[in-house]
Amino acid sequence: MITVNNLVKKFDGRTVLSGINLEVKTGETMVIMGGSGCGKSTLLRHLVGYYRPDQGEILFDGKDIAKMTEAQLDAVRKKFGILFQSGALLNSLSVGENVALPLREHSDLNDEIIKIIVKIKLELVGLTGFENLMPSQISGGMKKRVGLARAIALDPQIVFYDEPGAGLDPITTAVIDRLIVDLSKKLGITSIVVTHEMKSAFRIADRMAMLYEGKVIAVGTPDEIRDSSNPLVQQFITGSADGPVPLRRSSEEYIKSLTGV
Amino acid sequence: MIKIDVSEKNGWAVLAVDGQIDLHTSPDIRKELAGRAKAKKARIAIDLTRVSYIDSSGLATFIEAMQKLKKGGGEIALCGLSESVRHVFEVARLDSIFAIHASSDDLK
Ligand SMILES: Nc1ncnc2c1ncn2[C@@H]1O[C@H](COP(=O)(O)OP(=O)(O)O)[C@@H](O)[C@H]1O
Ligand SMILES: [Mg+2]
Repeated sequence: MITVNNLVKKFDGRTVLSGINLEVKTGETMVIMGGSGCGKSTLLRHLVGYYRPDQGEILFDGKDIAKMTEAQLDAVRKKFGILFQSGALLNSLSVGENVALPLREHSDLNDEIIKIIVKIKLELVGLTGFENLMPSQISGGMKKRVGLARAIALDPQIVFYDEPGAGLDPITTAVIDRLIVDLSKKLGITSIVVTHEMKSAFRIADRMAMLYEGKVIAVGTPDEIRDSSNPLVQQFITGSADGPVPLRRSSEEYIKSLTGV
Repeated sequence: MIKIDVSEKNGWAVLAVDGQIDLHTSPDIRKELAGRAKAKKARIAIDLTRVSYIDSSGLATFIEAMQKLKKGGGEIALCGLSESVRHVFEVARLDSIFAIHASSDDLK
């Protein structure tokens, strides 16, 4: 469904993605993991067409997203559900209106029908009865769940999640994980989930990819990743502080920031 | 495009839907249901045997019809759900609020 070939992205001359290759198949849940700042969100933003790569291609059903016009991207994005790291709610709208937004923008559905859909989606994320609250009245974790309800408002074919469990308690994280699995197994939705939380990653993934220094260094099923002989992968999934991943990760970047060279 | 065939069975109005139920077609079903659901004690069955896909707007359309029917003492039933259609109801946890039959022959 999505094929990434040799994706390269630099910000201000600094290489963040240095030749990503990745394939995501229809209906699978692909988890993208890696340390903080390694480029997971940047990769996700390329997949949905918010960033344009410096090199490489991103094929969605065979068509290169990197080369599409904004109008073509809009048409493709109707099939996407996107959950940003922050949830990204509009603070001036109620919870219910936030979830309704994509339905109002992309359909001519009657208001009564939209209200019912909003209720269904809020129930899915465990927020039944919250539609009249304002974003300022709910916790960060709840905002995240409202963001997810909005992301799935239009029944997308593919959902992109950026750190769906960040800032959530373990029980709510388990609820969200369950929902991701349900959407994928029961509705055939393709999911791409960026996370650094290993428990969650192993719970939901059909396959996992590990990013390190701008490249995919390992791809495989949870069992294959668990059995990986790559010490970087082992260090990451076991969360040990000692190992080949240096604590001060980007010395090059650090030196550059001090010396300007 | 969608086709809706209306027939009568054991005191039920059976709406046999043929096609995909999505954002574009669910308003047609809603229109068909609107007039019928207002009648007192109406019994409406939706036959989904020939429906391969239903989205949330379809679910919402049936829920709205159920709300209207209940006000007038009526009933709604769903028949002939394929596995994938049934999954859509299950994920939304709506499989328990509708009376669901294997086929319209089971309507009593
Ligand atoms: N729009 C941008 N402009 C400049 N630098 C950016 C931009 N977006 C991301 N970066 C940089 O790219 C690197 C990877 O960031 P990000 O993809 O957010 O990492 P992750 O999600 O893995 O924590 C970081 O060093 C970040 O500062
Ligand atoms: Mg990130």
